[in-house]
Amino acid sequence: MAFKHSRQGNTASLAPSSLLGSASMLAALLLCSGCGARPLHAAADWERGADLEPSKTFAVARSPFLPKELTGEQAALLAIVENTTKDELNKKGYRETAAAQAQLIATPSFIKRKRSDTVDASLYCGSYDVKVMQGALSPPAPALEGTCEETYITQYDEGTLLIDMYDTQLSELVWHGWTSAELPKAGSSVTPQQLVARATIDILAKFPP
Amino acid sequence: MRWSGCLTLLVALGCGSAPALNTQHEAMGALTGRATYAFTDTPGLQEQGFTTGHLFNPIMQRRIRDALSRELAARGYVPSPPDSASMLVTFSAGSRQDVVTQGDQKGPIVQGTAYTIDRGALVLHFLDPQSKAVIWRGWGDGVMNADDDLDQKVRAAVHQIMAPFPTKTS
Repeated sequence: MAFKHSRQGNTASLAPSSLLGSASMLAALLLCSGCGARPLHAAADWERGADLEPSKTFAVARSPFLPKELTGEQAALLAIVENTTKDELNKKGYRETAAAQAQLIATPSFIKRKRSDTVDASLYCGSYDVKVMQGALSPPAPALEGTCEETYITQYDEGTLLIDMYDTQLSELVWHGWTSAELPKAGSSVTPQQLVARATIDILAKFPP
Repeated sequence: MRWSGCLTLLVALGCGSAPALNTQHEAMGALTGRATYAFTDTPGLQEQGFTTGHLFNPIMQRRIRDALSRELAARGYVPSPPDSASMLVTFSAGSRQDVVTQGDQKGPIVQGTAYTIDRGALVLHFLDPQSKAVIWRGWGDGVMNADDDLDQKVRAAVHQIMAPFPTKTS
């Protein structure tokens, strides 16, 4: 079945070779809820007016945006996403069936990109007077000199789990959910398996809209 | 004004003040006598650090196409096959992350407070079908938040960018 869906631009991060580029990245993706720095925040976009009623049948299929060959670890993590997707959709009343008969096809995929973050230096000099406030720049407090007035700009790898839902009758993408997080660092207390499952559940909590 | 220069200005104006949407437009050719339009390919956005990502998916593309069609219909333009249209319409969208610092400082350590924002940009191009020259273009960019209603936000952006687009004249 051919779906009219292509991802453009940012080819460096969206090319199949970078999708699921490594098991750690997938795990990452997974990310991050466990890293502690940035919580998962799922979001979704969808075709307004699309019929996404839970009475529909569904199947989970391999995304065309995933590389054809996955490592064993990648495949295992993808299987968790796929199985969790099935579980969540079944809970909502959708009925799993063969892909050839399904009304909805769910396809998970992943991307990775570089992101920046800010760290308030005052957190490291004993002062909490200077805060990084999004949307408002306040002048530095006169009493705070030197490093206490500084902000560190850091970079990190962000992984994003995407779940696309296609309407097979229309052959169109009708729902697109995602969540992003910093790729996990060594020593995280949360396993990649747990993180992937959590990300999938959080995304599908937005489905149907 | 060069296209890249316009976008730079647009982005610069937006940094720090975080308005809902910055828009600009530029008329570069005659629209008089043009009454029909057709959509053409939607290229990825690669301007001023904006890159097209997963949000510019078919859902988004249909939404922009629908919103543009409404705006054009309201001005008297009608759709037609590409080979007979008097205007070709194309659009692209992308996003980028900005680090906002006092005085636009760069580097891993900056003085004062700093924060990151995600900006989204939408660019519309109207082309002459024969020469493929741009006859009108408009663009807008704004801060994107995780909880944005993309349908509402993008339709509003199209409406705002198209506000100066002229009504059909014969």
